[in-house]
Amino acid sequence: MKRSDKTHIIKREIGWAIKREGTNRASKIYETKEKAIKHASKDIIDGGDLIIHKKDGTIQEWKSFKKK
Amino acid sequence: MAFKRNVFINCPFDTNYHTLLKPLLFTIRKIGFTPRIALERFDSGEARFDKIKELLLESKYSIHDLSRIKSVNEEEYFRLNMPFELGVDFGCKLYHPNNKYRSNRFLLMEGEQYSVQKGLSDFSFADCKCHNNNSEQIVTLVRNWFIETGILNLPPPSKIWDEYNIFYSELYLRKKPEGYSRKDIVELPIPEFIQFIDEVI
Repeated sequence: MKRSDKTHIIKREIGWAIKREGTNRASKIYETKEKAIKHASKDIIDGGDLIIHKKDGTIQEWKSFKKK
Repeated sequence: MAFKRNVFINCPFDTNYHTLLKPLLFTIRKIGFTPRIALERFDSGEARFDKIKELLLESKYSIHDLSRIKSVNEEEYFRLNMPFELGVDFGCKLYHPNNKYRSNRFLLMEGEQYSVQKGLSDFSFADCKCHNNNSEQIVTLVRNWFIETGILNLPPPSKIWDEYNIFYSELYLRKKPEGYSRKDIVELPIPEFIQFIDEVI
């Protein structure tokens, strides 16, 4: 199955998780949302969307990246 | 058959509560049950209590959230609808002539630990679960309660929570081209929200 090009930043009880759509588990959990966004942005090298969620699951920001 | 899959929801209806209500509805649908809530349809000719009675009688499971019964501002009244509906539901379980209601299952929720014990001490025998007014925790709490009632083999709470977040991005993707603003999407009325959950799941 083709992996999605969407990456989500999702609140977890212990921090903020980076979760690529279509994968079973979050790749990593960071203490702060800012750190999670910074690391996720670096990882999107083939282009794709970074969807940043609020604590309640709704969308805070949707960033689209072009292929580097 | 529907009776055994229906979950009556007794909770506040104001939009401030939607941050808890929406993940709650999603979790119930995700694990294969049907949420029944007075907001599912609007008919000004229908007496509210008649609607509630009908929903209660059609549901084996019920979730009562008593987290917003306390008045917050000066001069504000406390809210009695939710404890009242809990009482009606409990009465139905105990006294309805049809024995099928004896095995009804309840989930009682509160926002702060032991707050229900303070305000409704007659119910202190009941195990009240605290969601701390947190959207993620309500998912965990409801999913774990279903496990405790004997509904096994459910996805883990973190998976449901992640799917809820991803569901929101799907909602955004599909509704934005139709002209919905971000605010419209966040404030989507409950019947429309439930309909969209069914479309996605």
